[in-house]
Amino acid sequence: MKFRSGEAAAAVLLAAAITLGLLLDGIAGEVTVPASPSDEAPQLAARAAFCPPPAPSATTRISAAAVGERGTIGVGGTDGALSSLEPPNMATVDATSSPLDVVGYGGRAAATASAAFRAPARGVGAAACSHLAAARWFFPGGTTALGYHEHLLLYNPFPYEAVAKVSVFAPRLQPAKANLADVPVPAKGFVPVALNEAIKPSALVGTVVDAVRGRLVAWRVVAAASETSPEGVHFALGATEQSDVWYFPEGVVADDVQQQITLLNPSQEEATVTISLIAAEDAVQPPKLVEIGVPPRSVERIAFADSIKGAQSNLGSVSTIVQSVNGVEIVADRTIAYRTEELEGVTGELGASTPVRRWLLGPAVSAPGSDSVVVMNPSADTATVDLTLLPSRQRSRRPAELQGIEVPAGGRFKIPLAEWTAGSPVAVVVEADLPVVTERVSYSEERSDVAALLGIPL
Amino acid sequence: MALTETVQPRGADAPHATGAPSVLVVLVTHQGRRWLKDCLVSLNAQTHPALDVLVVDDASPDFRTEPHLKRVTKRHLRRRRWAYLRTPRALGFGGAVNWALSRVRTSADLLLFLHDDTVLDDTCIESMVARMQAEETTAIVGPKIVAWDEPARLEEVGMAADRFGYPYKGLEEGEIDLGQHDVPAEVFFVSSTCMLMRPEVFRELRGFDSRMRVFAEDLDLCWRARLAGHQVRVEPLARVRHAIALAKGERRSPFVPPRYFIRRNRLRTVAKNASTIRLVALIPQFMLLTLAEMLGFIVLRQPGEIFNLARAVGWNLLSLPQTLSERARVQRMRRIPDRRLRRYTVRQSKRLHFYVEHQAGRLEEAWGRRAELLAVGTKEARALGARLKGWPAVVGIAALIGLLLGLRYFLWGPSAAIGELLPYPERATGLWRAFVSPWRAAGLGEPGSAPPAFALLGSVPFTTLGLGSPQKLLVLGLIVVSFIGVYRLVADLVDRPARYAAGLVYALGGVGYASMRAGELSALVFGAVAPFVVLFVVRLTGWVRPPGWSRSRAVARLGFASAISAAFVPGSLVLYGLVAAVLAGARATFDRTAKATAGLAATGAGLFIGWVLLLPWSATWFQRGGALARLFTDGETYAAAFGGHGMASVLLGQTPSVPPLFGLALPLMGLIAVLTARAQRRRLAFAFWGIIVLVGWIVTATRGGMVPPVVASPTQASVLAALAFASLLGLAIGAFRLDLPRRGLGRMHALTITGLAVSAFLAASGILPALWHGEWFGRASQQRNGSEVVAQVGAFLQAEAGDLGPFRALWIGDSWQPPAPTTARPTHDYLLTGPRGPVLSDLFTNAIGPGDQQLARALASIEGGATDAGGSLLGAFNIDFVVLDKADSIEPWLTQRDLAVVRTEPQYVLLANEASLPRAAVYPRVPGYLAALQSNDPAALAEPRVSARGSVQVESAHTYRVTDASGPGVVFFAESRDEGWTASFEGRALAPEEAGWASAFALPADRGTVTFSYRWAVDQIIVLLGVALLWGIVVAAAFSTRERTLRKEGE
Repeated sequence: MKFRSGEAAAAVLLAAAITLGLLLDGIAGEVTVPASPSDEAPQLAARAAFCPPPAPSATTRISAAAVGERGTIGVGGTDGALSSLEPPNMATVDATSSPLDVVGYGGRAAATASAAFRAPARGVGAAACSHLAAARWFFPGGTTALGYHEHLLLYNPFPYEAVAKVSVFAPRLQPAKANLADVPVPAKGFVPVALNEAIKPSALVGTVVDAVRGRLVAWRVVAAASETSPEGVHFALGATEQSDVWYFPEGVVADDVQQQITLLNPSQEEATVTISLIAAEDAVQPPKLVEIGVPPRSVERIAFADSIKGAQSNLGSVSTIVQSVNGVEIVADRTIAYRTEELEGVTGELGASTPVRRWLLGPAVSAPGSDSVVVMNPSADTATVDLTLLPSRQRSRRPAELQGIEVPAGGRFKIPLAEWTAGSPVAVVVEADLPVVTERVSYSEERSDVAALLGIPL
Repeated sequence: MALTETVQPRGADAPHATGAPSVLVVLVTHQGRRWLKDCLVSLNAQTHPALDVLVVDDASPDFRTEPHLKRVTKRHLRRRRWAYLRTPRALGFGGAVNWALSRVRTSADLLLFLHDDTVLDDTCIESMVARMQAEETTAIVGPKIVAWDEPARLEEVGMAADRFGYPYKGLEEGEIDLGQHDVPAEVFFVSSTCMLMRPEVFRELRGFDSRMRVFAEDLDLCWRARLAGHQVRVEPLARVRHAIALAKGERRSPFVPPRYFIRRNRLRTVAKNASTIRLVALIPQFMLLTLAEMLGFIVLRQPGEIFNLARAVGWNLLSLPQTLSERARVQRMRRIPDRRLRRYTVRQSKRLHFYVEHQAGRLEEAWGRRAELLAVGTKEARALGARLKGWPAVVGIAALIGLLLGLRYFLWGPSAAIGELLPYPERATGLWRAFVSPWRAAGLGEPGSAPPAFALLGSVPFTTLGLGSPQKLLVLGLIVVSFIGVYRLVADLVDRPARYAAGLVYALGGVGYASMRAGELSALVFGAVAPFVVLFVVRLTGWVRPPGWSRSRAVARLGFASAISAAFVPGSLVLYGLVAAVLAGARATFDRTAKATAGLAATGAGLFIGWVLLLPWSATWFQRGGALARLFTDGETYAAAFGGHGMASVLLGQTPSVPPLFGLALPLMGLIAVLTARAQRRRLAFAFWGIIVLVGWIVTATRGGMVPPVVASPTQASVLAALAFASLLGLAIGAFRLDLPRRGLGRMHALTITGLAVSAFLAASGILPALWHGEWFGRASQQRNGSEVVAQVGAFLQAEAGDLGPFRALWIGDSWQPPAPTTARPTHDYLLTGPRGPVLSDLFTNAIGPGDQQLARALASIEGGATDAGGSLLGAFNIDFVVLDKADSIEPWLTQRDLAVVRTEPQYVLLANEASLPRAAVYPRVPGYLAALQSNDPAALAEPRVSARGSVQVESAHTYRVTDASGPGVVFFAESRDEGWTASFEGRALAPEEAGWASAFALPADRGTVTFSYRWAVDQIIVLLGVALLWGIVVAAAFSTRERTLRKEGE
């Protein structure tokens, strides 16, 4: 193997070039993919809140609030916008026969619905409008017992027919069956499902609505006209997800108030749940509410009157924390039957699973006799809370008395609002420096019923 | 005295004293010994008394011609005075006449121009003179011309011409002369075979157009005479036999091919003599006719004729200044308008009929030739079959089986839809239509130069005659071309087995493997063409030059090949330039006397030709959104794709991505090539290593962001490294077979044999499992599913298109995106198509207009969860369907309240958009969606939806029609806004309105049809025709048969 001079020169040059190239290879980094310019551009915000259609034999009012820093909201049916609103402001609209969508254009919109029922029971109820249409909705604490009437309102906001399947969950060892496998929900239409007609009378049923095709929004209306319970209605938006913790700011442990927590475990594993109470200043742990077993695919109802005995049986106002201690996610709701000197009626509400710093609380009834906001602070520090009032189509107000309210760590605070709402529908924006959970409780003297409404996280 | 003293007259001394007009016969001869004697005899026997003859030899090449001619003339013109002249070089008939008469002062009353392959009847000239004298206005008289061998058969009785200068005899094929044309008629022109002319008119017209050389000079002269107010007549009593020797190819002529001169001179004649108005009307017709003829020649499989045509047009373009000057002179002399000549010309329909008949005859003849060629081909195939017996057949069959195995998911699956490897449009002409359309319908629509890749890709469906899958044929064809390219690249240096091995490794190796997996059609084409380009560079830089090699031809071929690869990978021109520098540098290192610089310059010229061939598209490379500008502006995106590649991976054969063991075999073979080879093989091996190191540097520097990417992916960047490795492999095997036996038995034998064995083992270990798993089409099953999904969704959308009319479909998700960024597809993460789904004509969109930016923002709003009114936003872009890849996060899409889920499958979800605006329709006002997008103000979305009126029909990519449009209102058109779009309502132009990214026009209160059309730019057409002409010239220059002939002669 002999190289001529030219070949030797070429070999040396090549070796040098390769060596330098390998050195460069070693020290040269790699370029990363830059962010897409479109990700940085301002986005076209326009999201809807889907509001319930009028329940049977009820008058429903939609309270829509513009709560963003900019943009407008439009309240419209399927045939077009009806009105618009600049933030921060609130407007109420009577629901027509078709469902209403509240759309925030360029800013956040939130809405609640309050309904006054005439039959089969007189009463009021309030429910949040949903920010999403989901494939699954959970309703733990329903009933089809004699004297109770349960309806599910299924709304399909999409331009394509949806099909729903309603599954019924019963307490342990009790069979549950419903002939509700394929419920068609027309495009941009709604369907009321009367559970009493589909399943045999049962004191406790949990329901799960699955959208076999498409996506839905689902609410539940339970009318209580039983001799064993105060007359009234509770109206609630379902939960779309399971969680291992649920918060209920409002609650009462007293002789003349019956509070029940219903736990739905749709999973295939048994859940172990502990229910804690927060009284005015201290946390209370009733012994019977520790490590309650909830079998798979079943519902379990815990009546405080049966579970809390002795000195704890008259705690008065409490907040409730429901926690799954074995990690099996559940869904929890709460019903309260008031039969006190001041209040009478029933409420039912699914809990909140996540504390946040900002909430909207729409008017729970159109003409409240008493009206209050309950703030629950599950954090380890004292939270400071400011309230902004949004009267219907008027300028927002921030009364000094409603600013800087301190809520102790792990405590709760009930803020009466009647002085400012004065019997008119007013939405409230609650802003806290720590994540909290809020709920509004209003009493309608006209209907003799209580309506409760958990806040809508903003 | 008929002749002057400058040429001494011979023969009879006395001047003519008969009183008859004297005639000077100018007899032009060129290699006409065969016919001249008869011609002279007939002249000698003429009854016309006053006749002199000037024999002009138009530089016949035989040195014995001159004495022979003089002798023959003297012998046969005893009764006539005669003279002899010889032109210094061949001038053609007209030129020779002009030249001779410029040297002869003659007092002849009449001039007779005569070919040497004619025989005149005795009374011929007398009759013609009588005709001339009968009318003062007659300036030119021609005889009746009959066949040489068969005087009863008519050849010509005066001629007509059509508006393009095509002559028309008005005779049937082989028509017998029964006196049916014996009328002394006025005709448009007579041929120069035998033409009697008044000398003063000849001088007035300044004689023949000597630039024409041969053919059509008679038409030009007669046309000019007619324009000057003179008459041209035919005298049927005068009869001339004509052998038509030149046209029949019976004599050699320096002016070949005849068809070139015929076309060239006709075009010049028309350009000079037609009136300005007629000429303006004729130019576009002529262009169309030329294109039609080119297509006809493609059908006839006569590429030489295409070249003739292109060459004729090119000559006229180059001669334009001189032609215009001539034209000005002719038009100044004009006394007769064109309309008065109309009765002497033929109608287009008649001419067309004649032309079709003629071409039909030629087609028949061509098929006959084809049959002969097939017969020859069959013999050659038999001979090839005989040669293939033995190991080449085994290797070939094994390679074929391997190829089919590796590509089985591609070959037997639906049309691939991955990266740039997309299905062909439904119509065979789809890509060509996209190429010539002034408006790019892909994406949201955009104006701009058509990518030449469409013209190249569009030729494939025609080879399948609409049967089978052109996409599969394309890929197989590219693989075969890759093989042939490398085979030829190393053919001059190694023997056949080494060539086969190199070709196979390249065809089955890195480029095809990596390109097919990523759907990089660009890299496939680049890989197929690169061996040829490098071969031409190797030859130009003086490494290897076969017999009959021509530098200019090599430059033309380099231009042609580099244009093809640059049509897909523009940066390939840069890479070729760098490779040429390496090859020239290496050449200079090894041989200091070598003129490497000249080779480098020639390569530069070839690459420049390649760039020019891609005009006007190549002029947009550096404009915003252009193919190269995109690489520079989105450099980080492209450079990120080079991650994991660098000098080390290139040297180890891992870039482009190949089965690792297979890649490792390549550098080993490269080392064997350097160590074992001798002489030129070793030197070239060094040069190829230089190319590999160059590619390593480029990949490393690009990956590190030190230089902007010149190509889009590491696969494209490493095509030349793969080529160099394959060539090294060929050189290594060649060295083993040719150089090693010359060495004494020793270490080198052991080293080489061991190296080859290890390489073979590594290559087989790497490639066989990959072939077995069908990895040539990537993660086979996954991608096959993707292609099936695309086909399935495409079928659904096409069915919907029948009801909905034209719409766009948006494809979201990784399954529809190229695994690596490419310049042929925009880098954003969505794909916008028509109902057919992604097709090849969707490639090469710039996607940089305001509409694209607004669409990107709308998509970001949807995917970021800011909006659930995505249907309205997308509807403004005429997006009727969204296809979601289920592998991606589709949650935000499913919460859009105006998008309906119409199909849910394991691989995808199909959403229908009911808020979509039609492609074009009439509205009371511009829909609010557009304002929302334009002003980034979502509040405009709140505006109640307005309903559309009218239905849209697609005439072509650049013409849409809305029928039943009723105003007043606004007619909206969902194509990117551009000044070129115009709208007319029942013939009235509509005023534009503001409509954001798209176009809108105000519609009056009326009912009718609105037509949207994108105007054709004349310059665009001219450029396209010019470029087509340029392609013809380059192809003709690159693939002329001369080299083959020379090579055969060399052999």
